[in-house]
Amino acid sequence: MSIAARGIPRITPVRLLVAAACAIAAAFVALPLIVLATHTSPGALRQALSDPLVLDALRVSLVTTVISLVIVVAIGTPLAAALARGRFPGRAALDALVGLPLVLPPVVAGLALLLAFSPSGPLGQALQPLGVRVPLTESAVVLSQCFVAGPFYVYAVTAGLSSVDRGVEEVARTLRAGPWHVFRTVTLPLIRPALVYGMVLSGARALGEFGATITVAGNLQGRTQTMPTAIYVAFERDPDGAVALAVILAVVSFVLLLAVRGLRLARAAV
Amino acid sequence: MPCLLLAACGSSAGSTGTPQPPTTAIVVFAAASLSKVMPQEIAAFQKAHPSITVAGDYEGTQALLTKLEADGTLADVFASADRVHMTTAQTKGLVTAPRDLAVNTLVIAVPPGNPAHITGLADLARSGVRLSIADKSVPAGNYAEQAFAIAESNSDVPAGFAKAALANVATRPTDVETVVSNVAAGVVDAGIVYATDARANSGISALPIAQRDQPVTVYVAAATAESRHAGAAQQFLAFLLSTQGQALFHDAGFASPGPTAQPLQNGAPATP
Repeated sequence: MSIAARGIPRITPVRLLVAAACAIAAAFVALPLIVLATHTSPGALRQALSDPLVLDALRVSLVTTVISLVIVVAIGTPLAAALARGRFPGRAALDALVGLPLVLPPVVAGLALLLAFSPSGPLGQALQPLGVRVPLTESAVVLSQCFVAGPFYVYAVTAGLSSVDRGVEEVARTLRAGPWHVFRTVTLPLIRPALVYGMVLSGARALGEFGATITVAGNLQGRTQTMPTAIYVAFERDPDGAVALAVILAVVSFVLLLAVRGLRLARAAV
Repeated sequence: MPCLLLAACGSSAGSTGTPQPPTTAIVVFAAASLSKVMPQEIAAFQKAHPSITVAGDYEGTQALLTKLEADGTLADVFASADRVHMTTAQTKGLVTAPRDLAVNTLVIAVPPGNPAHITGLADLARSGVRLSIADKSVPAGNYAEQAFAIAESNSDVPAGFAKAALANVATRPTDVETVVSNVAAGVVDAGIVYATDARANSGISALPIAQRDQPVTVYVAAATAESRHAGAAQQFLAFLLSTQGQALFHDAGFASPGPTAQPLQNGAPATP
């Protein structure tokens, strides 16, 4: 009757169900991507990586993603601190508002940004005297990425800050450490995994941003054409090239997410 | 009174008693620039053929062809905005017997008030002017580049115009509808669209491009080879080419495929 050997978990209906759910979820994500990968070859990938269109798209994507990430961290960190620690009226509303881009279709975000920054929109009109035009420029790419990817960072850091034991900070403070010193020596090391996780998640999302970008930033090689936009355009012109591009983007994103998992596991082991 | 009652009874019994004729559902893949006129064609066709329902999918011609290449059964009728894509579809055995449907013309679209004071093609090459022109893979984008080249070879614009105008392009959308919305939103100073787009959108103004600078912008339609409703597809095609169907194209600003567009089979172009 008992076939469960030492070390091998006993098979129960619940465990079977859980295993089935895991298998379905893994296959659901992995299968289409594996099929995608089988549609390309090392030769096609090499060729894609020497195509000026691909290189331009890679460059635009990487440069804008880095800029977006800097902006997201600069504005998102104090915002996350306020959401995690602050006690002020409207905190719940602010929390929901910040997360709104997570659930909005990105094309809606793009449309909203386009209308706001168009020459007749309020922000576009405010910027006109300064000679700044946002739609269909590199700034629009960055704006779209910040809009869509920002909440991933803010929510990760908010969660990290909320889980910090305030007693530890209190102890540091009773030892006459200044607030900045406490933050740097106590809080920061505690939330570093959350910061890194938020940055990678947000960066990967920015790298993959498409709907808002193509709506407000348009599509011009070397300026506003990112990897996802290039994949979309190439799919209609050169499907093989599009698949190669898609595989490159999928691999980069997977490696990024895997690196974060590894980082977290390594930290947990310490 | 009893008469009326009887009549009422009779008619209601008739409508519930006799089964509705089985309906055939067909799908039309039509170029994005047909998205205003095609629903009218479909409505008129369905009125005349109650047993056939038609669903329209409007995207850039190149996107529709990509879909057809992936699965030839996705559509029963394919209406391309140019010959190039239809010829590709024909070569790949995706369609049968294409027919010329209608002809369009290109115009320069400008936002309300024409803030950059565009008066003609030559202004598109002016420094600082921002343009929206569909991607080269889109018929409208390809036509726009052709028009630039034709105008330059006709000396209607200064030498180097085409290169300078293309350098002013701020975005290359994947369908002409997006060019229209770029212009309407005022995020560009001008765009190249079809006359029919300009006519259907009050949010933009159109400046003409000389007839001699126009490329041949002909729409070509065909039934798909793998259509499961070939009969209904042919009926719909015949309607599009009928007097009634062509009248709807005319009302929307299209011209009939006449002297400017030669039929696919007969290669002899009409001499001006």
